[in-house]
Amino acid sequence: MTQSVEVLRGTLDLLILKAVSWGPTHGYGVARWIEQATSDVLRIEEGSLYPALHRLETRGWIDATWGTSDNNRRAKFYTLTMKGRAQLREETATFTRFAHAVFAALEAPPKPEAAS
Amino acid sequence: MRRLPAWRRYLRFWGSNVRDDVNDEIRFHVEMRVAEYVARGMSEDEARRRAAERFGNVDRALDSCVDIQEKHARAEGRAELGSVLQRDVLFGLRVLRRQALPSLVAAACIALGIGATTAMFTIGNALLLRPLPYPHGDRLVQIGSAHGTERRTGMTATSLPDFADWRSRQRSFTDVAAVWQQAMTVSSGEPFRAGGASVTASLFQTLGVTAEQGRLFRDGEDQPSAEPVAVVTRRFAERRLGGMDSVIGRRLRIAGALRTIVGVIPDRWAYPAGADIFLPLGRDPLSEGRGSRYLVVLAQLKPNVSIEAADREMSAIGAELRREHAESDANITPFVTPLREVFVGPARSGLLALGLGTLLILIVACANVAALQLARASSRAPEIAVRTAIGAAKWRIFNQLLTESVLLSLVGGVAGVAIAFAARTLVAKAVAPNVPSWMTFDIDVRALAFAAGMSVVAAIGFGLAPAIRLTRIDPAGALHGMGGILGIDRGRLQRAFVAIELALSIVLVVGAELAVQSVMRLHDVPLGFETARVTTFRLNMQGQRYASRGERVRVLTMLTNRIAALPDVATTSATTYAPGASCCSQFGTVIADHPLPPTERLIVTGNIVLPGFFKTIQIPLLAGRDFTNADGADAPKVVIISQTFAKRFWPAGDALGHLISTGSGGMETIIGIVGDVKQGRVIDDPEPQFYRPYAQDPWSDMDVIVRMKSNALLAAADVRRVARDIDPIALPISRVQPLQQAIDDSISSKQVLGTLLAALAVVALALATIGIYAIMSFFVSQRTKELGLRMALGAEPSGLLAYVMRQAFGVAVAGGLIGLTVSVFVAHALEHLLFGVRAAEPAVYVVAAGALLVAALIASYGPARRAGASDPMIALRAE
Repeated sequence: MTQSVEVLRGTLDLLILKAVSWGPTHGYGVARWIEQATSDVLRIEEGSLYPALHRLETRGWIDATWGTSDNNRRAKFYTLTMKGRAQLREETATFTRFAHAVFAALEAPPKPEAAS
Repeated sequence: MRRLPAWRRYLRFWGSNVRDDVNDEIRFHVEMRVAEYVARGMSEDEARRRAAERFGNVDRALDSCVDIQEKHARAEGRAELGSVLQRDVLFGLRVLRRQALPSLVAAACIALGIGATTAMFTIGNALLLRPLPYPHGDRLVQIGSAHGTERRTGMTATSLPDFADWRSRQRSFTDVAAVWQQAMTVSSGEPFRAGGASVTASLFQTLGVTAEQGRLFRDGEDQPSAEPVAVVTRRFAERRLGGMDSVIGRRLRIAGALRTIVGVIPDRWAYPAGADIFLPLGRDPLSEGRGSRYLVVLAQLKPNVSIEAADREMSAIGAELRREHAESDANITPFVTPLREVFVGPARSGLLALGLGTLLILIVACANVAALQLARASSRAPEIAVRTAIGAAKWRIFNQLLTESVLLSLVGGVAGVAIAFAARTLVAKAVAPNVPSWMTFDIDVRALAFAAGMSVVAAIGFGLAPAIRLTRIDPAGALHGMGGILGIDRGRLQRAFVAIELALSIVLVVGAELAVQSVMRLHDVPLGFETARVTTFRLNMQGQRYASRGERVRVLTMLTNRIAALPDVATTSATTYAPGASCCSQFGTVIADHPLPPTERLIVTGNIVLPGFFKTIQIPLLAGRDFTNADGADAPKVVIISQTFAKRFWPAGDALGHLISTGSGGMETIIGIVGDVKQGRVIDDPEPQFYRPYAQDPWSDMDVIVRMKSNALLAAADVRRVARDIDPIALPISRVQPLQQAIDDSISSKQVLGTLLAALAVVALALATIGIYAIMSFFVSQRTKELGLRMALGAEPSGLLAYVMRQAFGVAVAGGLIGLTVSVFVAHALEHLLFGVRAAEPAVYVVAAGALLVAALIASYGPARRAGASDPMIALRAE
């Protein structure tokens, strides 16, 4: 098993929104999607996944319905709302800018002043 | 994904199953993980262990999910409730604004109702609910001396010996005090009069009050030999003595003696309320007559003693004194009343009459608004029908309609409080004209709460019927056509409301008529003397100079002579109490020819007058002669009696020359008979009266009577100048006023009461008129089709007009009959409050019925004309 990385605080919401943007998904599905999409590099802490889902639900970014899963079991499915989609767009843009900025900083040449 | 069957979701609908849901959700997650691990080749146990490890603390996740959901649900619930209310209020405001005029009329109706009742409430609040300003106000009582068996009326003053015995024998009270209310002359610079009282040293302890500055009276300071001291009120210190700083220890000449001021009390604690100066009584019970009753007795009940028990004890003490002092106390029974009763008692009849009146107004206003709202309901029906048809819940519509009513009512309530604020002084004057200054008729929190409560009650009162009616609308029928929307009774409910309104209006009109008639009769009562062009003022001769009887006679004669010499003055004279408004001195009287058993005592109102009194005030001399200057101190004692006096004891008409004794210290010969006058209240029956010449019994406080030649008023400045010329220090003049004014003042509270009742009646009639107008407009608009058909079938416009008018009169007659019947009972109940008016005066009811018919006529004529002018084609097309 490859070394996995804990999901950064604050990015969990973004990943959940992305996970449910493909269609109705239950909590396990969200966890699995994140693991698969990051080739098991990112591991989410499952204990904090559900509070996060419920928090997003109460904010109106995702909707929840009870239904039956593929193996015919009762499960709660989450879908992205209009509001959630807008939020996803905004957070994606913000995170992308953030990540680019961090990369840029990490790959920048050494400070000229420091060299002399 | 497949959706769950409906019944399973419904199971979850009830109660808080959030926890179960989250639990299911997490368990599902773990099961999926286990299945995944098993699929990767782990054993079942291994998979389960790894899955649990992977998930972490299940309980903590569960708790925080439940927490998030519950917080959210609570916030949601609040928001929903708020938004429903907000929607209802906004929608209600829109509806009210859209129908601005009817809404305004309705709000005005409610404002009148709430305003009237709230104004009344402030009075009742002050009289009955707000505490007296004394620390143990609810335990303060007055002990009166009832003459005969009739308690609480007539003279209740007590003599000093009786008071002393009560005080030493009683066990019900922590302390007992006696008060003798007097006006006092203060001589510092220009002499002036101030309200005051001579009191026992126990007064302030009894009231439970303390000094604001200095000290109060010490025990024994009320004995005749004690140092002359005085206690004053703060307002007196500030207005008359130049502030609080230098008051204590100051020496002032009060009531003829130089006294040291030892203490100041707050104004609100003054008893009686008008008094500013308190002197120790300074009298010895042993040297006073037991029959000389002039003291008001106050007491504070011990904490665990009831009024009834105290009353029983005082009755028992009274019985002892009756045995011990049969010659003076044979007829006397002490009785205990709460101090509050002293203020409430005289106001009770007015409170009752106006309270009833304002309550009727409120009911009339509510009935009126209900009728108006029902009429408006006809225009609201399609809107409601649409909302019902598209699925609005009945309770939402019901709430919406009630919200509208409450809004209307609150608007009316706010305006009502403004009305109450403006009207309360007037109402107070009608109900409780003589109240102490601390008893203020404020719109306090309680009054505001009352107004708010009445608004809500009113809203429910007038809003419920229309709301129920509109919620019952059958949407299909209503959308089909306007005709049958309000069900089968076609406004019967409205007509019932208006009939009730009319009935109550009649009751008010009858009540007002009786009250106004009573006031008018008060004005017409023959007084027995002539008030036109007569001015009176009060003169007080106090102090050392006037200790001599001769000096008092000399000064009063000189003063009246000098005033008679003023330009425009016709004649002058003087009497102890001017008739008409001020009662009076009463004297134990003995008639030589009619000895009474020792248990009975004749008490007769008497005045001491200067010669020329009867001529000046124009009381007719029926027999014998007037007093002259020859009836001096050393001349034989003489008396003039009133007609009623003469008739009662000498029915044969031979009263002249008989001997009576009225307290001058010997027997007096009757030398004349004069006409009866109203000495005290105008409403009193004529009673025996006598007059004695001033020279034979010169009192120090006199009312001077001045008759002018023209209608010019006597100038107070002239009178004061004359008095100053005679004595610049100790001859104060007060209350310079036309005699008629004093009489008017004495009946003004009844007059204001009558006016207020009349105003209420007018308002009720106006409301009823609006009510009739509303239902008749509704009636006509509902029957457009029927009227058009009648027209098409050949009915005359005048016939239709008459048809509609008949409907209006049906309601008017029904309401009128109920109202007249109720009025008869109400009038009988109120009869004892009225002067010179019987409850069963047909004219009163005829006028009320007439007023009602005129109102019905005015209100229905407009709608009826519209009916008469209806166009058959338009009418038929309307549906």
